[in-house]
Amino acid sequence: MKKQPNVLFIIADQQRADHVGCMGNEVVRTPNIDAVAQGGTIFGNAWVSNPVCMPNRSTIMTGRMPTAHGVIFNDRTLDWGSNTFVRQFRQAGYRTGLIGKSHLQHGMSKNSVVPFRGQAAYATAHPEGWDQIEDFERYMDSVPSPVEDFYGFNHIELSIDHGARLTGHHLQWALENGANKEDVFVEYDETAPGKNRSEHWWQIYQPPYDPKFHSTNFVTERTIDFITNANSAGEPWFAWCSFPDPHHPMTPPGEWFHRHAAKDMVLPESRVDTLDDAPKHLRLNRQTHPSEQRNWVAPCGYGSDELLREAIAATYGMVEMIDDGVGRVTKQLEALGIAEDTIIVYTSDHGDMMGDHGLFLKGFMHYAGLCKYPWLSKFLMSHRYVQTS
Amino acid sequence: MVVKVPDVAPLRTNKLSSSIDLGPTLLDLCQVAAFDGMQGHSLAPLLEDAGASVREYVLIEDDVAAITAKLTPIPGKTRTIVTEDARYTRNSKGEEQLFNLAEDYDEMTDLKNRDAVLRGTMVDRLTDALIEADDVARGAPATHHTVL
Repeated sequence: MKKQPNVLFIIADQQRADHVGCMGNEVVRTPNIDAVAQGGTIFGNAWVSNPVCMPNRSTIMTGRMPTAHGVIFNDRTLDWGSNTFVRQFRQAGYRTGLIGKSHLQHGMSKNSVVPFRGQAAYATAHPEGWDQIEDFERYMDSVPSPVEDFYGFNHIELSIDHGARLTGHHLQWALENGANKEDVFVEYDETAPGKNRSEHWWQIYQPPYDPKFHSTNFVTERTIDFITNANSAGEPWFAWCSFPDPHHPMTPPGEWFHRHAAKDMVLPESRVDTLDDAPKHLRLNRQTHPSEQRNWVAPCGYGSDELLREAIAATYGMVEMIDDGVGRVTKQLEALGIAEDTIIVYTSDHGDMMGDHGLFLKGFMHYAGLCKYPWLSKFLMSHRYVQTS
Repeated sequence: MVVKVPDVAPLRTNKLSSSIDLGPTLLDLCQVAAFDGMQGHSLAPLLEDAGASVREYVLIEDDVAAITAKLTPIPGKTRTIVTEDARYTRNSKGEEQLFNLAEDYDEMTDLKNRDAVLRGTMVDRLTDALIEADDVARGAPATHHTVL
């Protein structure tokens, strides 16, 4: 009987399909992500099931459309009773870990959307607090007791928020490692401390802390720890290695902020599209400068060429920091002697308009920039697990 | 021990795939059972043959709650069908978009009022996709596992 392969499932947030070197981008440098596809497969025409974080993440977990699993928008939590493909792995004997961003529960998004109002269609009879596991408030003073089965995961270490706002297990990990709380627990507005902030949009800046505290390093280090422990125990494992970047705020820390000069960035030609023939809300988005967007997440226009160049340069810095993390995790697979026993997936929950058609960010704009996402896999056919009697 | 990953050029497939296929593909490769109601497809056939055809289209849903649709300019519901050649989008305000992805990669020329044949084909595909996406799993008895 062949050994069950391990699964390293790497997922970024809001990374465009064309923000990967092997997908044809000649500016962003992603040698480690590109290497995932060496001997494997690039799915070059992959489209989301829904272009918003929570619905699409819930779809990936359940293999069901949003109208079937129920999370149609970032304003409700995946039902506690939902089965997931990860739970199937767990039942087959795998150790299952979620490190980093989950966003299956309406925690980090609850203050940035119109709240659900009125009476619910049905009642739930789940244990008290089942839908508050991703509420950042629970992690401010200490890490709460572990959850035995979080949608099929038997081990979770959450990085709940985005940019330079550290919450969840990530916050307590950073504080234990010497971070200053006022540097890492910040608001989603221009009061967040930082350097080299864009004059055009508060969401592009260099955070004040050491890069080792950033979400990308947290996810990298904790994934390596999870894999190493599971391997020592001799169990097959499934690791959901989930980077909160390059979702805005665009805050690559330290050297990663300076990886690319804004002036060198190439802008999409389609940004001149006046959208005369397009649905009305797209024209309204286009007219909205990022600095005037609703909350800090609503889709908008790209503001100006200068802003867009700064946004792309900072995004590439975040992607390259993720690439460095991917390299460290894959190197550990080699050090443990299990590289050939491990299936690797690299993907993202959706893209970003990033100036295409004059639009910016995500949601309700079904152009390829938002709706296509990267999917690279090292699935060697030799990984195919064949059970023999 | 250091094991070198074989330095083989990646297989690239431009056949359609979707987020919903990630789970079914991994379950299939690892010979782990799927469960009732999974709507994605295993793309394992594409690993052996980049030209294999698993999907004729991808359906994209995009919704907001009624209160959000009332308070913002966002359409309450949007549905998109993507084929290898075209993208058709329609929302609950009656607005549409139609692009020929094979000839207009940047989606600059909206064909909704210019190509009735393509529009008709895509409306048929969208109808088929919406029928297929109806959920027949919710409420079925759960016998083979406990979820809590």
